[in-house]
Amino acid sequence: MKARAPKIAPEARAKELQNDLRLKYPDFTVCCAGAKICIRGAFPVLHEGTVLDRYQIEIEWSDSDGVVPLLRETGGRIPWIADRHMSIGGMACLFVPEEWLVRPLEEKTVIHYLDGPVRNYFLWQSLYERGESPPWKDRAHFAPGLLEAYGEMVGMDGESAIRCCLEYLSREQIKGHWPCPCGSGKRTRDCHLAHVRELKSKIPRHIALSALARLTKPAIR
Amino acid sequence: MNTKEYLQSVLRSQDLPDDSDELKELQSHRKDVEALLRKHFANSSPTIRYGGSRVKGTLIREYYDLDIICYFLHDDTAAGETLEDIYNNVEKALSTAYYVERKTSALRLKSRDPQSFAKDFHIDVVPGRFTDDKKADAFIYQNAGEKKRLKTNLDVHIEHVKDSGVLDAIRLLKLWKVRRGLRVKQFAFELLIIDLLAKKKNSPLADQLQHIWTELRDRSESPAVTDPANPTGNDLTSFLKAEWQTLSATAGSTLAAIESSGWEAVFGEVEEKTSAQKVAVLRSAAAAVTTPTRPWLPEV
Repeated sequence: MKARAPKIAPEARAKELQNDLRLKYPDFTVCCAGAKICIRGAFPVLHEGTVLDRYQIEIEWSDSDGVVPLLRETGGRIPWIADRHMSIGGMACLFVPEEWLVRPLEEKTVIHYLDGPVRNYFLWQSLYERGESPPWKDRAHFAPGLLEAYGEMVGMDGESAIRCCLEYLSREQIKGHWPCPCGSGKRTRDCHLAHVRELKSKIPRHIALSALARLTKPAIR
Repeated sequence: MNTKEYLQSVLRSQDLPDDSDELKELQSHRKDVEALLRKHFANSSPTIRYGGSRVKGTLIREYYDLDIICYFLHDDTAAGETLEDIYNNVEKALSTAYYVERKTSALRLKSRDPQSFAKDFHIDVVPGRFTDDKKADAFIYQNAGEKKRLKTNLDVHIEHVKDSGVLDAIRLLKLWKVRRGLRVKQFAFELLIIDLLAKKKNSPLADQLQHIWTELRDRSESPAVTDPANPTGNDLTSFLKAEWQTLSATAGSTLAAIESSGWEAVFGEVEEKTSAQKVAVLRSAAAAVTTPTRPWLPEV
């Protein structure tokens, strides 16, 4: 199974994805709509080999770095309301996009996507629908949820520290004399330089930039 | 369990009994829809009745819906001069109580309640106009495709499917189609199945299904499908043509799956659990998640 294929025609890539899905998600149909690759069918919420629930879904899959797959619940089962993390148009909001983008390439396969965020999302929905308390806390809506997620990503608290850290990560180089993003008043070299450099090795510039842009306008992609 | 028993158990798991919560809810909505339409078109006397899978006997639990036809008299213009006007005006009337999604000929009703916005009620209203005062044939509007209207006859369709002798195959193939996200118009797909099984009505169900998948796999393009409601007028191949390649490839992989892994590879394990059991298993599945992803909501 390939994490990211080299640029190939959508039809050929659709075939590859269909093969990737064959063993675990044989029900899915992968097809092309122009340059887009769509994965459609009933998603089985699996646990120990048993199907616990099924949801009609459509995924707009993308191999492009910096693009998050889009998932729609097409069965009309989940209302388009904030509490269910469903946007107008039936778009499921599985996570803060950068949480997906920051993953290493080998963990960004279609199987990782389905086994992880998609399964988690529908497990959460199945319990919610049955009046059960959600199994884990959802993120706050809009910008506060972004700050929560980015705070976890950079290991810092407070909006200014998080923004500053993302700002540094979006630069070519980090200079030790810059004020430390943590707000201590020290220079970064005397405070969090090792931490910020470690982050720099994990969070590419374009992801830091997309996070900063999203904080200005928290849209889905 | 042999294949025959297995397929029957799949069919049973897809039954929606008359006293099921889902059907009771549908029936209650149906009353509301009829009352709403009669109120809005008080100067007309539209025929409002069930159509679709409910009356044809092809309903499946996993993707159920209720078709309600709303046909106006052939000389009645109170709901609109043209079929498009009728479609738009019925939509307008329904929009006072529902969030309405425009489909090719039908209007899908969803919730307008802010607490459950866009939750599907599984109801399609199909507006149309009878072609004459016999109140049998009707024209329905099509907002996609080349032809803007389709001549149809509800009773002919119902009888054709009900008397086809292949209802079990139709229901299982509908389940197959739904699970695989195949976007083929159901009524055209049903007619195709009936045509292809015309000489296999007495064959075992498994053979019927395999015959259909083999035909789908081996034909490079969709065969002509005749609409019994308008045998010379409606070309239904257009409903199948667009998805034919996908349909054909999926049929091929389904046959290969049966060959390599048996029938459960197609329809899965059939398991009946009570609601409390389902919750308990969902809870334990959630507890086993080591890296939960927390859903978020962006600004639109």
